[in-house]
Amino acid sequence: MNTKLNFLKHATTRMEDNHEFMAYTLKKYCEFEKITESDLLNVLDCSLSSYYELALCKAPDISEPDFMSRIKVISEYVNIDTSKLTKMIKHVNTVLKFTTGTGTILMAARDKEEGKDDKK
Amino acid sequence: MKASLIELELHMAVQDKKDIALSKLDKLYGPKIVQILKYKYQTAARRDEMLLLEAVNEALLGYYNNPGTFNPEKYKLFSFLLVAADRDLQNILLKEQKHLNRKDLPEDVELQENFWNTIIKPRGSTDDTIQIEETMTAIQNLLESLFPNERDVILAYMVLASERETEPFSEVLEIEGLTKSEQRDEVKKHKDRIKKVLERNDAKNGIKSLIQ
Repeated sequence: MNTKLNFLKHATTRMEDNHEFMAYTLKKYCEFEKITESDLLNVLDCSLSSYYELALCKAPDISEPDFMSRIKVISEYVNIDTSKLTKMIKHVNTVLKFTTGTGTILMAARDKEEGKDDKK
Repeated sequence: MKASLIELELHMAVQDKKDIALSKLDKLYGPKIVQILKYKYQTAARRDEMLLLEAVNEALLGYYNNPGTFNPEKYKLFSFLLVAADRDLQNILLKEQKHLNRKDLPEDVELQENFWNTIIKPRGSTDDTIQIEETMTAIQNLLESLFPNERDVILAYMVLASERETEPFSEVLEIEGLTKSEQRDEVKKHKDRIKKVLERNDAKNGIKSLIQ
């Protein structure tokens, strides 16, 4: 690995716990999907250099009205398909919303209708 | 020396905390500064390159979090960040020295063989640190006055550190895609060019006088 990639990798690792940055989103995506960094390169169809450059961008908030315009700027900068990027960020946000601090998915609790069995 | 137009744009992006600002900053300056520090702190770099990566990251993040510390009217952003990273690396080495509780760091050995190490030995006092920073800025200004672009400044640091291998020069010149012999020819051309400028301007003695 050359100096550039080495440095960007180190910078990315430092930002992985900072939820304001894409490094955090990328790490979470790998965790949720149980895939490696190189698998994610294939998903995003990008080079390692673009991947690290993306990781060092701030993560746009999907609930903000400027989400799409911000994601477009980022995807043009790192040369990664906008829709792939959007899909990944939304996926991570959705899972995070339903994930507790312990990493377990919260299940919707419902009262069972009397006399009805779960098994059909 | 004032900041360039590209640097001013980046500085404004950092101040506004634009989404791609840190990424651009890291991409543009991180590797260049690491390359320079590699030649100034050869023993430390050989021992643990992570120390250098840590110092440069610390400096860039420090600026990103507090862009007000940079005065674009007074400095070039590149020089400002290089001096900051140099200071951070010295602090890391100093902490390491204290931790090891040794009087003689491996850097002492380097003093005999590396042109740069006469100015980088961590001494510890605040006065020393300020003086070293001033010297570093003066050296950086001198090299920037001789070479118009940052790449040539890095090459000058490498030539002054007597780097003989082709590979590190190829990396800076981004010619790794060429054949080995093409790389050698291209590197030689650039090294000769840099050496001529340094000799014509008596840069080696100029830097030595700044250090004394």
